[in-house]
Amino acid sequence: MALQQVNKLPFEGLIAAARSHKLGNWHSKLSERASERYTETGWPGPKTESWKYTSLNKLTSGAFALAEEYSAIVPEDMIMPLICPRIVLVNGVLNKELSNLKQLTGSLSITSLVDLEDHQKIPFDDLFKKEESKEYLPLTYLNTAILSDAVVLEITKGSKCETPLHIISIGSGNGIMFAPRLIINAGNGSKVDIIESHVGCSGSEYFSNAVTQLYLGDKSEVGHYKLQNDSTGSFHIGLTRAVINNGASYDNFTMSVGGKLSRNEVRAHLKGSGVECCINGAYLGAADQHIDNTTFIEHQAEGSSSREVFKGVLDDTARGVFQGKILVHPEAQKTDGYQMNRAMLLSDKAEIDSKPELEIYADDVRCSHGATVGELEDDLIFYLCARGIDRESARRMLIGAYISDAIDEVKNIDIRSSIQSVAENWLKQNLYGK
Amino acid sequence: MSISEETVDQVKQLEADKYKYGFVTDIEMETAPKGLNEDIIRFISNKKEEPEWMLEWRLKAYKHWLTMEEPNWAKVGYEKIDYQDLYYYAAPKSMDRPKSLDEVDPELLKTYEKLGIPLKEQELLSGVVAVDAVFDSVSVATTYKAKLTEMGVIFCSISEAVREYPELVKKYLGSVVPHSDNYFSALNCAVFTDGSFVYVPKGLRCPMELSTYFRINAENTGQFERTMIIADEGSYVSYLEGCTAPQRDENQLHAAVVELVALANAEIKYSTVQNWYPGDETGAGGIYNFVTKRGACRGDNSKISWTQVETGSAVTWKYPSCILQGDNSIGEFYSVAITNNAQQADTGTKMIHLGKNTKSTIISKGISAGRADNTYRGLVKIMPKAEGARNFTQCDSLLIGNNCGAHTVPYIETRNPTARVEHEATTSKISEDQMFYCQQRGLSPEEAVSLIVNGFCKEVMKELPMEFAVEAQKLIGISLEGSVG
Repeated sequence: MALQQVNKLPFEGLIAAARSHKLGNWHSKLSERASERYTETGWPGPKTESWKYTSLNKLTSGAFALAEEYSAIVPEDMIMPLICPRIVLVNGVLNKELSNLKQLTGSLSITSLVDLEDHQKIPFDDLFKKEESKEYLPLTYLNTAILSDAVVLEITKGSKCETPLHIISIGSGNGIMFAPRLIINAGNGSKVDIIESHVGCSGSEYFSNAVTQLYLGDKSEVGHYKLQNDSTGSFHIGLTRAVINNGASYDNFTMSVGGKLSRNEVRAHLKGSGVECCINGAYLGAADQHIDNTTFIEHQAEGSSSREVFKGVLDDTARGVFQGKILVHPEAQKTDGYQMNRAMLLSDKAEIDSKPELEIYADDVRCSHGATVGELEDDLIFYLCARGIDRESARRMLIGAYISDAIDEVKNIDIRSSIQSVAENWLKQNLYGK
Repeated sequence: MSISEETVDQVKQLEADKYKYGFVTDIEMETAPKGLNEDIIRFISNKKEEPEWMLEWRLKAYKHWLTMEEPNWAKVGYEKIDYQDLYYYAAPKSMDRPKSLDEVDPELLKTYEKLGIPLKEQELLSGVVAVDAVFDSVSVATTYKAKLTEMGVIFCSISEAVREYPELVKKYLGSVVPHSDNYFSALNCAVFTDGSFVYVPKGLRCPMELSTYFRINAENTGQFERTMIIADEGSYVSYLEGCTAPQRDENQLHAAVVELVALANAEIKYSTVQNWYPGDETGAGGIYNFVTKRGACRGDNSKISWTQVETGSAVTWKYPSCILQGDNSIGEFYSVAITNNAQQADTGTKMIHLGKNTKSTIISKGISAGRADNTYRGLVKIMPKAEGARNFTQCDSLLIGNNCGAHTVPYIETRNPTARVEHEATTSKISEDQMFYCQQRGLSPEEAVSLIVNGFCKEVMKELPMEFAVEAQKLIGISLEGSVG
């Protein structure tokens, strides 16, 4: 398919400025290749199918500069409420003072590329080359082109990390753009839970263009939970790509509540057989927020299963987008795929656009998807009111329960309850007195 | 059950002649030169003895078409069409507007007989179905016209309607599918040669099923049909459309436009059985079917129901849609699409909810066998003013063999909180248990597949009028021939 080419690519000036900015000469080459791909793919326009419902006009009309400051105060009330070892990135660069790895268990190495000499970075080249695919991912190329740092986590073969690791990405400053980059390599038979909190300092308005790459070795178990709670007025475009090998299990959950415009794209490539993959999420939108959740699950080998549950609540003039695609290759017989997307509109100005898509080339498969949109049913509210609960509480209770359905999919109990508390907070802030 | 017995018979027959309807009638054609330009459009308009406004409308559409690009978003692949290498007008030469069937070329009548539409017999005998038979581009004969005219129903060819009822045509032509709508509809506006026109007056329940048999005949002739049905307030009409085409090597282009208008309390039921030549096992030949079908529920409490059984064509690109403007109006779409060998189908519907309490139902069954690709592509759009709108969608796909593909691409856009939209889709295959069960009871694998597939499609098949149901059930068996064993 011909890609819609936009005359002038945004952020081209930034790419030039970012070259060798923090990562030395090593980055120049990488950035050059990435910006070539960026030019080839072109900026997503109204005719780009995968960006059909999300317009980036508001983003491109703003002026952004590269971040120069890399320190901030962690906005504790915004992040996922969980006590565990943490890595803190400020404007895309690792901040050692704020990070705390004391209680870290298991055999895990953390490398920040900004600390390394040029020749030490060369072994990491391959990790970036892997991302140079034929797919239409202009913002991922842009991320590589303007990179200031990249954090690489290596989990040793067979190592079980019992405590989760919390990665906090903070945006601090106005009119800045940064590109957090995480690379997670889970060795064969290893186990780890990673939490990503994307937050901003209050009053900051920025553009966070985040990319997380995961490689799951044979029989590894990775839990990966993301909270997108960027400050009001900010833009968040995030890509998570997981390559999953034989017998591995990947449990992903994305909770989106923040920012002015956000897109969370999760791409899972099930390379091995016997993979268990869950891509779930919830989104809560109010005011004029635009929240896009796009998922792509590719079944490449036999006998894997994927499960997807997304739920959203939209108030005021918020707009939600859900695009979910399951692709089953001819080799991927005995695939079991399930996808469900439900949305609730609380206001007559809110909007939800969904596009659940199946593309199937194998016959011995079970794939199904469902999508529903509706409002809160009066009968349900009546039921609770009849039991002495006031209307407002009844409403909040029901909306809370609605969202819980998706959150319940999270496998780790502690993390599940902390996501739950984020949702409850949102309901308190947004639904009181309405 | 008798259904499977009939299917068995049909399959047997097929072993004898590969494609039952694959024959060519030798009749001299009066043909415009190949290619497309303003002169050809003038030629067509002149041949049809059209008024000036009609010609202007065609030229306007043609000029717009020149500025457009052929769409490439559908999941179909085909060799690029050279629009200058086609004939845009072909009419059986011996025909000079026959007054009765006796004046019709006997060769032509024989063709219909082979197809199983004995016009002569029909006029005399059944009295149930009126046939506006279209041979290539010109209406040959219209039966039961007198009877219908008596009741105030206008059922004629669209070129006749342009001459006889210009006011009606002017009012509604292009009001549902405008000349600028899409690439293929714009082309149709410029060069359409014939089609049916139906007007049902206020409060009348049309007593018979109206039906048209389309047939592509001349080599290299694109068929550009234009059908228009207007159901005035409180009326009801059921329209049947069925197609067969002779076997041929070169790909044939078909770009039809169907416009339906239902005014207050009116109901239109439009049923299609599409069985055009699908090409041979390798995909050579076969019809390119690019159709724009759209109905507008203009008045309150109106209803439009599309039912289609798509078994033919090499490439199908078709999205019968409903614009639900009137309050409480209802749109329905029931579809069975079967692709075998190298066939490709990208079909579905659009339901645009504008009025209050509008309802729509979509039931789509896709069956893919051989190396075929079958895509459901649909849009459900709830506009802000559509209070209490309701949609239910179900898309089921069945895969037979591991070289085919089944795809589902629904778009759901909701802008009203009171709307309830539900979408479900599943993909599965015929299980070995099902096959075993049938075979154990003495059915051959092919009979078993036909039986199971007919069961899979039952929800749609029951929506078809009697006249079509039997034929369609047979077709399902025939279409899947060679897909198992």
